[in-house]
Amino acid sequence: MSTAPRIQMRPLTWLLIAAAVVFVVIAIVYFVTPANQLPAFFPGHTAHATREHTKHGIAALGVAIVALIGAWFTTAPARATA
Amino acid sequence: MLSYFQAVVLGLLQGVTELFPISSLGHSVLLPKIFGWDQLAKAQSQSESFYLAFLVALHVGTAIALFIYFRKEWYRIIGGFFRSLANRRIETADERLAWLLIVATIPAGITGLLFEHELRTVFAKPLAAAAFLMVNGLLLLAGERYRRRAEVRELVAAHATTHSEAEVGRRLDTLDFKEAIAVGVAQIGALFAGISRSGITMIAGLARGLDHEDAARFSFLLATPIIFGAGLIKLPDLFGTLGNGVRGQSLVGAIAAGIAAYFSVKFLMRFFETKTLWPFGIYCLVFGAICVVAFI
Repeated sequence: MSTAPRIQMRPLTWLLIAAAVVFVVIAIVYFVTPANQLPAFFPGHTAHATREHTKHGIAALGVAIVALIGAWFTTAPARATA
Repeated sequence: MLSYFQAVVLGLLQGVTELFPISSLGHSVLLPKIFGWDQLAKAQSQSESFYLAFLVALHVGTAIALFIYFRKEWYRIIGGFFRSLANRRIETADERLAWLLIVATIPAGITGLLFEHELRTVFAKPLAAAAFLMVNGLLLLAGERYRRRAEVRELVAAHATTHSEAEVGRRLDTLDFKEAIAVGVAQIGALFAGISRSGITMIAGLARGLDHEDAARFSFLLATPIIFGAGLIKLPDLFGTLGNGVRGQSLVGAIAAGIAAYFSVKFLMRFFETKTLWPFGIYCLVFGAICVVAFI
């Protein structure tokens, strides 16, 4: 008797996990780096601001969570067809 | 700084205008100016002020009232969310509604986090708010006209429907995720003082064939996490130095906002069983025009 694996890792699953990791890293950068020290290509980079962009970090964390949830959904075993 | 009388007035105002499709942010800019509370009117567009800390409490009060009113639906939605996570499938109406709300919250949530501060400091000023209030009125009236078009009727006919006293509409759980994103994108408009969150999301729902009652229900359910989240993120302002001298007033204002919001949503859910957005559209046009003339 063969049973389908409960978790199926598909290419999309890995892609979403990678995206989640990237966004977690971005969130951490926003939480710990003042706006004037952010990489120039980051939204919120300001030459003279010394505050951290906490809200940008929360947004990045939100995207990471969405990507992780998406990844989780892609692991569902295929539905049995009649 | 901020009297208890002002706190109660502003709390009641916030509770009513957050849910009536007439823009709470717009009214919280316009009415202090009309009442001659110039210090409060100016504080709206400042980068940091005690008034913003006070508004945080009003938002939390409003969100709690919304949650209490829709508590039975929220229990089902939250249950549906966890069930769908466990099964990795979306099968029931409650599970679907949970994900529709999550998907629809993302666009305005992210945009608000990134740009709310900039938009507020630029646009939360009396003249701009009055102009946007007129735009809000036009949008409400245009949305009502669009709702009557043949393509919307076809959209309704193509899905499972609900029948209220006055109209036929699509069932809320027949919305697809692209449509939920569209409603969520529409909600970004509410970042401009004068554009109503509930109004613009109701219009988006009506345009996708929902009846007024379900469009309002989806709008209020959608508003709850975003209003609560916006309040929670800024809660440190209230407990930090910005909140010094206004914490008591904030508590009183939040209670007033919560009571006003509860009775507003109760009234509006009955109102939209039989009536439309027309009165609110006309009110926004007239009040906005009067304010534009007064502030020029």
